[in-house]
Amino acid sequence: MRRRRVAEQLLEVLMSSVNGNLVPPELGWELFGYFVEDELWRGKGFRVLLKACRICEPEKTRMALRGEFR
Amino acid sequence: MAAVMVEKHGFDGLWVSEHFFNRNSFITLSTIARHTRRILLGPAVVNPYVYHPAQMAQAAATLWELAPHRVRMAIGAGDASALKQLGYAREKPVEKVLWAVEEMRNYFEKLETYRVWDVKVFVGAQGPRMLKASTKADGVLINWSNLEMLKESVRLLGDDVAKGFTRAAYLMTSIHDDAEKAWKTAVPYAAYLMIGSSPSYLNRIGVDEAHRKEVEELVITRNWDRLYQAARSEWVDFFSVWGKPEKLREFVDEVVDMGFDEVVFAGPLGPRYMKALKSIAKICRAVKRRAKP
Repeated sequence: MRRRRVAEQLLEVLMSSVNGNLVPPELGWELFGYFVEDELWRGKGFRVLLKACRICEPEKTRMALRGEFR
Repeated sequence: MAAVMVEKHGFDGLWVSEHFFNRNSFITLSTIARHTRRILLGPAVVNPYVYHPAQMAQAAATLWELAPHRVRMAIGAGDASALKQLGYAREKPVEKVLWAVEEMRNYFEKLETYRVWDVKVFVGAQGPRMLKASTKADGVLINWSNLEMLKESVRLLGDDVAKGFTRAAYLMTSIHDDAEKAWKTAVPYAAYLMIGSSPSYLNRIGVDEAHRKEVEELVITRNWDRLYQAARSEWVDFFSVWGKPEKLREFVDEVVDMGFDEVVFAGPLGPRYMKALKSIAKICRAVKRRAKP
Protein backbone atom coordinates (compact mmCIF):
# COMPACT_ATOMS: atom_id res chain seq x y z
CA MET A 1 0.00 0.00 0.00
CA ARG A 2 1.43 3.32 -1.04
CA ARG A 3 0.56 5.10 2.19
CA ARG A 4 2.46 2.50 4.21
CA ARG A 5 5.52 2.94 2.00
CA VAL A 6 5.40 6.69 2.42
CA ALA A 7 4.99 6.32 6.18
CA GLU A 8 7.98 3.98 6.23
CA GLN A 9 10.07 6.56 4.38
CA LEU A 10 8.91 9.31 6.71
CA LEU A 11 9.84 7.19 9.72
CA GLU A 12 13.26 6.67 8.19
CA VAL A 13 13.59 10.46 7.77
CA LEU A 14 12.81 10.90 11.45
CA MET A 15 14.96 8.06 12.80
CA SER A 16 17.94 9.14 10.67
CA SER A 17 17.68 12.82 11.54
CA VAL A 18 20.36 14.55 13.59
CA ASN A 19 17.69 17.13 14.53
CA GLY A 20 15.51 14.78 16.56
CA ASN A 21 15.89 17.02 19.58
CA LEU A 22 13.70 19.61 17.84
CA VAL A 23 10.65 17.35 18.24
CA PRO A 24 8.84 18.45 21.42
CA PRO A 25 8.51 15.62 23.98
CA GLU A 26 4.70 15.70 23.92
CA LEU A 27 4.67 15.21 20.16
CA GLY A 28 7.32 12.53 20.46
CA TRP A 29 5.27 10.50 22.94
CA GLU A 30 2.13 10.92 20.88
CA LEU A 31 4.08 9.61 17.90
CA PHE A 32 5.39 6.69 19.94
CA GLY A 33 1.86 5.73 20.89
CA TYR A 34 0.88 5.43 17.24
CA PHE A 35 4.15 3.65 16.44
CA VAL A 36 3.60 0.80 18.90
CA GLU A 37 0.04 0.36 17.60
CA ASP A 38 1.27 0.29 13.99
CA GLU A 39 -0.91 3.32 13.23
CA LEU A 40 1.68 5.68 11.76
CA TRP A 41 0.55 5.03 8.21
CA ARG A 42 -3.00 6.37 8.52
CA GLY A 43 -5.23 9.01 10.09
CA LYS A 44 -3.98 10.96 13.08
CA GLY A 45 -0.88 8.78 13.34
CA PHE A 46 0.24 9.77 9.86
CA ARG A 47 -0.42 13.45 10.55
CA VAL A 48 1.61 13.29 13.77
CA LEU A 49 4.47 11.56 11.95
CA LEU A 50 4.40 14.16 9.19
CA LYS A 51 4.43 17.00 11.73
CA ALA A 52 7.46 15.57 13.51
CA CYS A 53 9.30 15.02 10.22
CA ARG A 54 8.62 18.56 9.03
CA ILE A 55 10.07 19.91 12.26
CA CYS A 56 13.32 17.93 11.90
CA GLU A 57 13.89 17.68 8.17
CA PRO A 58 11.55 19.77 5.99
CA GLU A 59 13.38 19.11 2.72
CA LYS A 60 13.81 15.38 3.27
CA THR A 61 10.14 15.18 4.27
CA ARG A 62 9.17 16.62 0.89
CA MET A 63 11.40 14.01 -0.78
CA ALA A 64 9.80 11.21 1.23
CA LEU A 65 6.31 12.37 0.27
CA ARG A 66 7.41 12.14 -3.37
CA GLY A 67 8.81 8.66 -2.67
CA GLU A 68 12.36 9.86 -3.31
CA PHE A 69 14.03 9.38 0.08
CA ARG A 70 16.47 6.48 -0.23
CA MET B 1 11.22 3.75 19.15
CA ALA B 2 14.78 2.72 18.36
CA ALA B 3 14.80 0.27 21.27
CA VAL B 4 11.53 -1.32 20.16
CA MET B 5 12.98 -1.70 16.66
CA VAL B 6 16.17 -3.23 18.08
CA GLU B 7 14.16 -5.84 19.96
CA LYS B 8 11.91 -6.51 17.00
CA HIS B 9 14.94 -7.20 14.77
CA GLY B 10 16.19 -9.89 17.12
CA PHE B 11 19.19 -8.20 18.71
CA ASP B 12 20.24 -9.56 22.10
CA GLY B 13 20.53 -6.25 23.89
CA LEU B 14 21.41 -2.61 23.83
CA TRP B 15 23.69 -0.25 25.67
CA VAL B 16 22.81 3.38 26.33
CA SER B 17 25.70 5.82 26.38
CA GLU B 18 26.22 8.05 29.40
CA HIS B 19 27.44 11.60 28.74
CA PHE B 20 26.44 14.60 30.80
CA PHE B 21 25.47 16.47 27.63
CA ASN B 22 23.03 13.72 26.60
CA ARG B 23 20.01 12.23 28.31
CA ASN B 24 20.57 10.40 31.59
CA SER B 25 21.19 6.76 30.73
CA PHE B 26 19.28 5.28 33.68
CA ILE B 27 16.12 7.27 33.10
CA THR B 28 16.30 6.38 29.42
CA LEU B 29 16.84 2.71 30.27
CA SER B 30 13.88 2.74 32.64
CA THR B 31 11.66 3.94 29.82
CA ILE B 32 13.10 1.34 27.46
CA ALA B 33 12.55 -1.36 30.08
CA ARG B 34 8.82 -0.56 30.15
CA HIS B 35 8.48 -0.92 26.39
CA THR B 36 10.59 -3.99 25.76
CA ARG B 37 10.35 -7.55 27.01
CA ARG B 38 13.44 -9.49 26.11
CA ILE B 39 16.55 -7.49 25.31
CA LEU B 40 19.38 -6.98 27.77
CA LEU B 41 19.78 -3.41 28.98
CA GLY B 42 22.59 -1.38 30.45
CA PRO B 43 24.51 1.91 30.50
CA ALA B 44 27.86 2.04 28.75
CA VAL B 45 29.77 3.36 30.35
CA VAL B 46 29.17 4.91 33.74
CA ASN B 47 32.28 6.31 35.32
CA PRO B 48 33.27 6.31 39.00
CA TYR B 49 34.13 10.01 39.06
CA VAL B 50 30.59 11.20 38.46
CA TYR B 51 28.77 8.18 39.92
CA HIS B 52 29.61 6.65 43.27
CA PRO B 53 29.40 2.82 43.18
CA ALA B 54 26.54 3.02 45.68
CA GLN B 55 24.57 5.04 43.10
CA MET B 56 25.55 2.59 40.36
CA ALA B 57 24.28 -0.31 42.47
CA GLN B 58 21.11 1.56 43.38
CA ALA B 59 20.37 2.45 39.76
CA ALA B 60 21.12 -1.05 38.49
CA ALA B 61 18.96 -2.66 41.18
CA THR B 62 16.08 -0.31 40.51
CA LEU B 63 16.33 -0.95 36.79
CA TRP B 64 16.38 -4.68 37.56
CA GLU B 65 13.00 -4.37 39.25
CA LEU B 66 11.62 -2.90 36.04
CA ALA B 67 13.37 -5.51 33.88
CA PRO B 68 14.25 -8.57 35.99
CA HIS B 69 17.23 -10.61 34.78
CA ARG B 70 17.84 -8.20 31.89
CA VAL B 71 20.27 -5.73 33.42
CA ARG B 72 23.98 -5.36 32.71
CA MET B 73 26.37 -2.61 33.72
CA ALA B 74 29.45 -1.28 31.97
CA ILE B 75 31.88 0.79 34.00
CA GLY B 76 34.70 2.76 32.46
CA ALA B 77 37.07 5.62 33.04
CA GLY B 78 34.91 8.08 31.11
CA ASP B 79 35.86 10.68 28.56
CA ALA B 80 38.72 12.84 29.87
CA SER B 81 37.62 16.06 28.19
CA ALA B 82 34.01 15.67 29.32
CA LEU B 83 35.16 15.02 32.89
CA LYS B 84 37.41 18.05 32.73
CA GLN B 85 34.41 20.20 31.82
CA LEU B 86 32.73 18.95 35.00
CA GLY B 87 35.77 19.72 37.10
CA TYR B 88 36.95 16.13 37.54
CA ALA B 89 40.55 15.05 37.03
CA ARG B 90 40.62 11.53 35.65
CA GLU B 91 43.18 10.25 38.15
CA LYS B 92 44.23 6.61 38.44
CA PRO B 93 41.47 5.43 36.08
CA VAL B 94 42.32 1.71 36.23
CA GLU B 95 42.38 1.63 40.03
CA LYS B 96 39.22 3.74 40.20
CA VAL B 97 37.29 1.51 37.80
CA LEU B 98 38.34 -1.67 39.61
CA TRP B 99 37.34 -0.14 42.91
CA ALA B 100 33.94 0.76 41.48
CA VAL B 101 33.37 -2.78 40.16
CA GLU B 102 34.26 -4.27 43.55
CA GLU B 103 32.26 -1.77 45.58
CA MET B 104 29.18 -2.08 43.41
CA ARG B 105 29.22 -5.86 43.85
CA ASN B 106 29.58 -5.35 47.62
CA TYR B 107 26.53 -3.12 47.71
CA PHE B 108 24.51 -5.71 45.79
CA GLU B 109 25.43 -8.30 48.43
CA LYS B 110 25.30 -6.30 51.61
CA LEU B 111 22.26 -4.10 51.24
CA GLU B 112 18.99 -5.90 51.85
CA THR B 113 17.01 -3.47 49.75
CA TYR B 114 18.57 -4.95 46.63
CA ARG B 115 17.35 -8.31 45.48
CA VAL B 116 19.50 -8.60 42.37
CA TRP B 117 22.01 -11.35 41.86
CA ASP B 118 22.63 -11.64 38.16
CA VAL B 119 23.79 -8.21 37.00
CA LYS B 120 26.78 -8.84 34.79
CA VAL B 121 29.41 -6.11 35.15
CA PHE B 122 31.56 -5.14 32.19
CA VAL B 123 34.58 -2.88 32.08
CA GLY B 124 35.00 -0.48 29.17
CA ALA B 125 38.59 -0.71 27.99
CA GLN B 126 41.02 0.36 25.31
CA GLY B 127 44.54 0.42 26.76
CA PRO B 128 46.60 -2.53 28.01
CA ARG B 129 46.25 -1.83 31.73
CA MET B 130 42.49 -1.47 31.64
CA LEU B 131 42.21 -4.58 29.47
CA LYS B 132 44.17 -6.63 31.99
CA ALA B 133 42.15 -5.15 34.85
CA SER B 134 38.87 -6.01 33.13
CA THR B 135 39.50 -9.72 33.74
CA LYS B 136 38.39 -9.09 37.33
CA ALA B 137 34.91 -8.16 36.02
CA ASP B 138 32.38 -10.34 34.21
CA GLY B 139 33.23 -8.98 30.80
CA VAL B 140 34.97 -6.31 28.77
CA LEU B 141 33.67 -3.84 26.18
CA ILE B 142 36.64 -3.15 23.94
CA ASN B 143 36.22 0.23 22.32
CA TRP B 144 38.14 -0.26 19.07
CA SER B 145 36.79 -0.29 15.54
CA ASN B 146 39.78 -1.63 13.66
CA LEU B 147 40.99 -5.21 13.34
CA GLU B 148 44.60 -4.52 14.30
CA MET B 149 43.69 -3.04 17.69
CA LEU B 150 41.02 -5.64 18.35
CA LYS B 151 43.51 -8.42 17.64
CA GLU B 152 46.04 -6.78 19.93
CA SER B 153 43.41 -6.43 22.65
CA VAL B 154 42.55 -10.12 22.53
CA ARG B 155 46.24 -10.95 22.81
CA LEU B 156 46.66 -8.62 25.80
CA LEU B 157 43.61 -10.05 27.53
CA GLY B 158 44.99 -13.52 27.31
CA ASP B 159 43.19 -16.70 28.23
CA ASP B 160 43.47 -16.47 31.98
CA VAL B 161 39.90 -15.29 32.50
CA ALA B 162 37.04 -16.65 34.58
CA LYS B 163 34.56 -19.04 33.05
CA GLY B 164 31.79 -17.09 31.38
CA PHE B 165 33.89 -13.96 30.92
CA THR B 166 32.51 -12.07 27.94
CA ARG B 167 34.66 -10.35 25.34
CA ALA B 168 32.65 -7.73 23.45
CA ALA B 169 33.91 -5.63 20.55
CA TYR B 170 32.35 -2.17 20.52
CA LEU B 171 32.33 -0.97 16.91
CA MET B 172 31.46 2.54 15.75
CA THR B 173 29.46 1.63 12.69
CA SER B 174 28.21 3.38 9.57
CA ILE B 175 26.91 1.34 6.62
CA HIS B 176 25.05 2.11 3.42
CA ASP B 177 24.92 0.68 -0.10
CA ASP B 178 26.59 3.92 -1.15
CA ALA B 179 29.98 3.73 0.60
CA GLU B 180 30.56 7.45 0.23
CA LYS B 181 27.40 8.21 2.21
CA ALA B 182 28.48 5.74 4.88
CA TRP B 183 31.85 7.50 5.11
CA LYS B 184 30.29 10.93 5.39
CA THR B 185 28.09 9.79 8.28
CA ALA B 186 31.05 8.18 10.05
CA VAL B 187 33.34 11.23 9.89
CA PRO B 188 31.92 13.36 12.77
CA TYR B 189 31.79 10.33 15.09
CA ALA B 190 35.31 9.21 14.18
CA ALA B 191 36.48 12.79 14.64
CA TYR B 192 35.02 12.92 18.15
CA LEU B 193 36.84 9.73 19.09
CA MET B 194 40.06 10.86 17.47
CA ILE B 195 40.26 14.23 19.21
CA GLY B 196 39.86 12.56 22.62
CA SER B 197 42.35 9.80 21.94
CA SER B 198 45.69 9.49 23.69
CA PRO B 199 48.81 10.76 21.85
CA SER B 200 50.27 7.25 21.74
CA TYR B 201 47.44 6.03 19.52
CA LEU B 202 47.49 9.17 17.41
CA ASN B 203 51.25 8.81 16.86
CA ARG B 204 50.62 5.29 15.76
CA ILE B 205 48.41 6.43 12.90
CA GLY B 206 50.47 9.50 12.03
CA VAL B 207 48.16 12.17 13.43
CA ASP B 208 50.04 15.13 14.89
CA GLU B 209 48.80 17.56 17.51
CA ALA B 210 48.27 20.33 14.97
CA HIS B 211 45.85 18.23 12.97
CA ARG B 212 44.12 16.97 16.11
CA LYS B 213 43.57 20.56 17.26
CA GLU B 214 42.32 21.59 13.84
CA VAL B 215 39.74 18.79 13.86
CA GLU B 216 38.81 19.55 17.46
CA GLU B 217 38.01 23.14 16.55
CA LEU B 218 35.88 22.02 13.60
CA VAL B 219 33.95 19.59 15.83
CA ILE B 220 33.38 22.16 18.59
CA THR B 221 32.14 24.77 16.10
CA ARG B 222 30.12 22.10 14.22
CA ASN B 223 31.75 23.12 10.95
CA TRP B 224 30.86 19.89 9.19
CA ASP B 225 31.65 20.97 5.62
CA ARG B 226 35.20 21.89 6.60
CA LEU B 227 35.44 18.73 8.70
CA TYR B 228 34.69 16.52 5.69
CA GLN B 229 37.47 18.30 3.80
CA ALA B 230 39.91 17.92 6.68
CA ALA B 231 39.05 14.27 7.40
CA ARG B 232 41.83 11.77 6.80
CA SER B 233 41.44 8.07 6.11
CA GLU B 234 44.08 7.32 8.78
CA TRP B 235 41.72 8.23 11.56
CA VAL B 236 38.32 7.63 9.96
CA ASP B 237 39.38 4.03 9.26
CA PHE B 238 41.01 3.65 12.67
CA PHE B 239 38.01 4.83 14.67
CA SER B 240 35.08 3.49 12.66
CA VAL B 241 33.86 0.63 10.51
CA TRP B 242 32.26 2.27 7.50
CA GLY B 243 31.18 1.17 4.02
CA LYS B 244 28.79 -1.24 2.37
CA PRO B 245 27.07 -3.96 4.44
CA GLU B 246 29.29 -6.63 2.86
CA LYS B 247 32.34 -4.94 4.32
CA LEU B 248 30.80 -4.98 7.80
CA ARG B 249 29.89 -8.64 7.39
CA GLU B 250 33.52 -9.53 6.61
CA PHE B 251 34.71 -7.40 9.52
CA VAL B 252 32.34 -9.07 11.97
CA ASP B 253 33.34 -12.54 10.75
CA GLU B 254 36.97 -11.68 11.50
CA VAL B 255 36.08 -10.28 14.92
CA VAL B 256 34.20 -13.44 15.85
CA ASP B 257 37.05 -15.61 14.57
CA MET B 258 39.42 -13.68 16.86
CA GLY B 259 37.48 -14.97 19.84
CA PHE B 260 34.97 -12.24 20.64
CA ASP B 261 31.72 -13.44 22.22
CA GLU B 262 29.68 -10.35 21.40
CA VAL B 263 29.72 -7.52 18.91
CA VAL B 264 28.21 -4.16 19.80
CA PHE B 265 27.21 -1.93 16.89
CA ALA B 266 27.50 1.64 18.11
CA GLY B 267 25.83 4.58 16.41
CA PRO B 268 25.35 6.20 13.99
CA LEU B 269 24.82 2.80 12.25
CA GLY B 270 24.44 4.64 8.95
CA PRO B 271 22.90 7.60 7.12
CA ARG B 272 19.63 5.61 6.98
CA TYR B 273 19.12 4.30 10.50
CA MET B 274 16.34 1.78 9.92
CA LYS B 275 17.91 0.39 6.76
CA ALA B 276 21.24 -0.01 8.56
CA LEU B 277 19.57 -1.71 11.51
CA LYS B 278 17.92 -4.20 9.18
CA SER B 279 21.23 -4.90 7.41
CA ILE B 280 23.08 -5.38 10.68
CA ALA B 281 20.37 -7.73 11.96
CA LYS B 282 20.78 -9.78 8.80
CA ILE B 283 24.55 -9.86 9.29
CA CYS B 284 24.12 -11.02 12.90
CA ARG B 285 21.79 -13.86 11.88
CA ALA B 286 24.28 -15.01 9.25
CA VAL B 287 27.20 -14.82 11.69
CA LYS B 288 25.26 -16.75 14.34
CA ARG B 289 24.39 -19.47 11.81
CA ARG B 290 28.03 -19.72 10.82
CA ALA B 291 29.13 -19.91 14.45
CA LYS B 292 26.70 -22.69 15.36
CA PRO B 293 28.54 -25.95 16.07
